[in-house]
Amino acid sequence: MKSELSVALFNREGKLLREVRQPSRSFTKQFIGFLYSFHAYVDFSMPDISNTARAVRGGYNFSHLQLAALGGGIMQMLRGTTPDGSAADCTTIMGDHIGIQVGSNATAPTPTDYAMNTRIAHGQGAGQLVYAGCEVEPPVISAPNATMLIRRYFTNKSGGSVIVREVGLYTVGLTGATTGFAFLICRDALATDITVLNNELLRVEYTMQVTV
Amino acid sequence: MVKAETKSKPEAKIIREEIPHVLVPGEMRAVLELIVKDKDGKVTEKRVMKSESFVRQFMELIFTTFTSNWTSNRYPIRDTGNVVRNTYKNADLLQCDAGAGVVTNGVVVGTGTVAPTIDDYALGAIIAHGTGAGQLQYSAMTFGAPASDATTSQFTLTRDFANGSGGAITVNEIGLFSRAYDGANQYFMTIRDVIAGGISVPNGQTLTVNYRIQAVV
Repeated sequence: MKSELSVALFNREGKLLREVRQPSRSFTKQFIGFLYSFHAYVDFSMPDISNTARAVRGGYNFSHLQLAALGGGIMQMLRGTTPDGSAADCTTIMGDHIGIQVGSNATAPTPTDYAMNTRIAHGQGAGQLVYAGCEVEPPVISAPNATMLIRRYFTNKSGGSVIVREVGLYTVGLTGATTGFAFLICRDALATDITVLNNELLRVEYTMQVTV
Repeated sequence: MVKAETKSKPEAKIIREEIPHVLVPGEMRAVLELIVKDKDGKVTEKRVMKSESFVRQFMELIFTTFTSNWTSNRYPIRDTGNVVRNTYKNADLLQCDAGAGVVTNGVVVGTGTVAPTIDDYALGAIIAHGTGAGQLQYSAMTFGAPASDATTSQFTLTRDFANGSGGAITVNEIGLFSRAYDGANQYFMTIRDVIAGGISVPNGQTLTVNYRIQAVV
């Protein structure tokens, strides 16, 4: 599987101002950790975005590896498993802590990155961007490819400019029936800085593709 | 008849082994390693190659987990029996910790030689478990925990196939069958590889298949 990253900038009227495309290079060890936990059906300990080791539960994965997310500042319900094996709402996480993330530090990625280097927070304060919901489109199959798109919009309502230099993916892992945490599964440093002026709109898309 | 040396239960273990580097930066795919050993454990053949093919079911199951689909929002995926199942996210999505003798789940082998396509949902001709003519004894699945070096992270899925059939068997294709849920457990092929020229497993010898799922920065 390979991924391409697209970062596009629009003005307040929706006119495309600039688009940068580059290969995404950087699925992290946590993504491999989730896949391992799924395939082997075992717990696996790995660092969350605060660099705290969390034992992601092999059997509590209703919300594991979720990327579809509500917008910033909105509490999102996660789904776990009760001791009798049935599914149940278990805990909440802020919508902007799942899905595509943006940051301001272009330090080169490594497999063991556990968080955005300098995450741009959701909000309308200085240096912040408003995180919309994160969409995941159903796979498109067109031989020899299977392709899936992940998209999020960010709006600058800060009153000043905000520079984006890194992009990544946060997902969620459950560590028990009632506890869940965010994990970094992909991080890319942008080849070019993207300056988002006040009232401009930023669109970030990951296109994941499998080719036979 | 050769006594099969098959593991009876799936297990996860720490494997401190070399991480093969055959992928390019940005790739996430499987590296396929094939090892044939004689009855004394001596390696008689070893091949390491890029796995050709995550197939569409892998992407569709990943979509299911990315969107955390629940019962009200199912996604149709074709299973290994060519039946489209309206799957939803469940606790055992992608699970493949099959026990010994199980041919519906985990790494599987076959004799088909048709090149893989993105729409493949099953092996061309799966080799049955057993000691009869043309059969191999499937061990339990084992797993190597995630490890990483400066550029690559990986985990490993392993299965042994012992030949006690009395004759040589040529394995031409290898696949991975994973579990998902539509109200009951169903099985879906997520990887299929065809081995150029096949790999022969003489009577009394064992084929070990390692799929190392890697991500390279």
